[in-house]
Amino acid sequence: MEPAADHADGAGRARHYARLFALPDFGASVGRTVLLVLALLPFTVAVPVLVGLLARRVRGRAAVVYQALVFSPLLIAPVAGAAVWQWLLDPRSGAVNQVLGTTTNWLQEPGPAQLAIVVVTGWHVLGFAVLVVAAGLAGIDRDYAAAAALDGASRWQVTRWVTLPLLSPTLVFLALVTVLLSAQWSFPLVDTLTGGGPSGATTTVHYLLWDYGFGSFDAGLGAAAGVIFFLGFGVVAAGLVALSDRVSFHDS
Amino acid sequence: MDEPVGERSRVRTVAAHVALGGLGVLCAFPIYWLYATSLRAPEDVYSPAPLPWPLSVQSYADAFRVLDVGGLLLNTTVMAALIALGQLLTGLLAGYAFAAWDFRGTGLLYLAFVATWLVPFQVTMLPNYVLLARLGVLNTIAGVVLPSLCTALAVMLLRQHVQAFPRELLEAARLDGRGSWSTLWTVVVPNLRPALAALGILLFVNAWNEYFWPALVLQRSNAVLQLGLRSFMGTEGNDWGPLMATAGLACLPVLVLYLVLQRQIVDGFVRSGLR
Repeated sequence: MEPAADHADGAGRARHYARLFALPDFGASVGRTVLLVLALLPFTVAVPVLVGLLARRVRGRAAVVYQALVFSPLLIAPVAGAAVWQWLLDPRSGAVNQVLGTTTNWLQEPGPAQLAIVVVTGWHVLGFAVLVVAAGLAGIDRDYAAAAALDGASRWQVTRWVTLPLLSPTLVFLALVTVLLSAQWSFPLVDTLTGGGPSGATTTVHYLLWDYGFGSFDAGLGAAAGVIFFLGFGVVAAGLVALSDRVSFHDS
Repeated sequence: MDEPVGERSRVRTVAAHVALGGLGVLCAFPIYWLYATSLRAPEDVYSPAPLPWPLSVQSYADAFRVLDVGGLLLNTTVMAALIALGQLLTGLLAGYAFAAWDFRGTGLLYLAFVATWLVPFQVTMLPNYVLLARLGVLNTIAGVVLPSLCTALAVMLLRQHVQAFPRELLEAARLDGRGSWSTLWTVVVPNLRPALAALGILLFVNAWNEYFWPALVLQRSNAVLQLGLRSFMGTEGNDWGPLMATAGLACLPVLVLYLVLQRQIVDGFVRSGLR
């Protein structure tokens, strides 16, 4: 730690920010983090809603089994998951290349490595999102859908105009969680699978901080990053909370 | 909702089965492969055969030789249980307060809770680490548990659940002369039991799977299972057999817990849906 910087005046404090922005790769890592969030939204919002809607057509034991299977990756420790994916993605004897008939070096090439991080992170969190959507759907009073159906609405109309609006608080919640936590979900995977590489292709802001700041126990840089995170994510989160208050219907 | 009985409906139901079944198999395959690899004989580890045959526990024997698996299991269980209980309790109290009462600054306070999510672990870990060092609880389970006793996730989800709770019931409890504290424990908690169980399991699993924070606090390495995994990872290539065996052991208690309690969780969701 830097004792000199502890009693820093304004200029001294500003220096931490200057150093943060001057980190090699800072801008690019912010961009990659945003991309990661966008790429994960299908896994945390779209697919879970689809699964939740489909699951209503399936009853009994089968539904329980499907839910258990989709939920199971969430139970796997990220580091254990990273280990098995490293094994699955092995260029020579990995199952992925054998099934696809490819010879891609998944974790050593920029594009494939980014795709791998997104898919493995998505695999991990899908079950959580499915569970949250299931809870949201279960909380919706069936009388509304029944009433709409009595009024002659088709299945799709009921879904579009009754179910989804009532589900919107859940969806906003999932979007919020995705924005705030994507980079943290993928962090253990990046650390174990790619180490931020190849040539920085999977370095998110979080990994950059870990790599530069905390590798050297640099408190000033970390604090500056903390403030930036707080402001950046704060704006996004406040926007989403405001949105959720506007679109929410509470049927109580 | 009543299902229209007909050809179209049946086709759609079959399509739903196929889609969900396919997705389920896709999701579960890596887990199957994890255990399949761990049960292969050392010379068969690279075999692409879908079934591990002949079965061998040599990888597990190797893992047990290198690591004190029993001790790690106990440490990890205690840590995860304490964290989950703490987060459930603080989340319940805060969620109830936010949902049941209107007071000055509700919105601002709630935002403050959500805001704890804005600062990622990579930023808070250093101040937390210094604080724990001053408190003298580094290298203890308490050091891992203390900074994790409250989570915005539990507060947000439980606030939602209490908000969806019929206000008339809370009113009725108040008219019966119950205070907030007794309303919480005798009216709200019994009715939220399914949600609490589901959330509790989620929090337990999250805590169980935590890796970086324990790695930092418990520097007398390998005190929890997740840290033991690193013993079999190397820059030259991994020791796949024992690595998969340890990963399998690290995941097994959570998988068993889920299998045992899943019925209760699913029942809970169904019941709250029919309320």
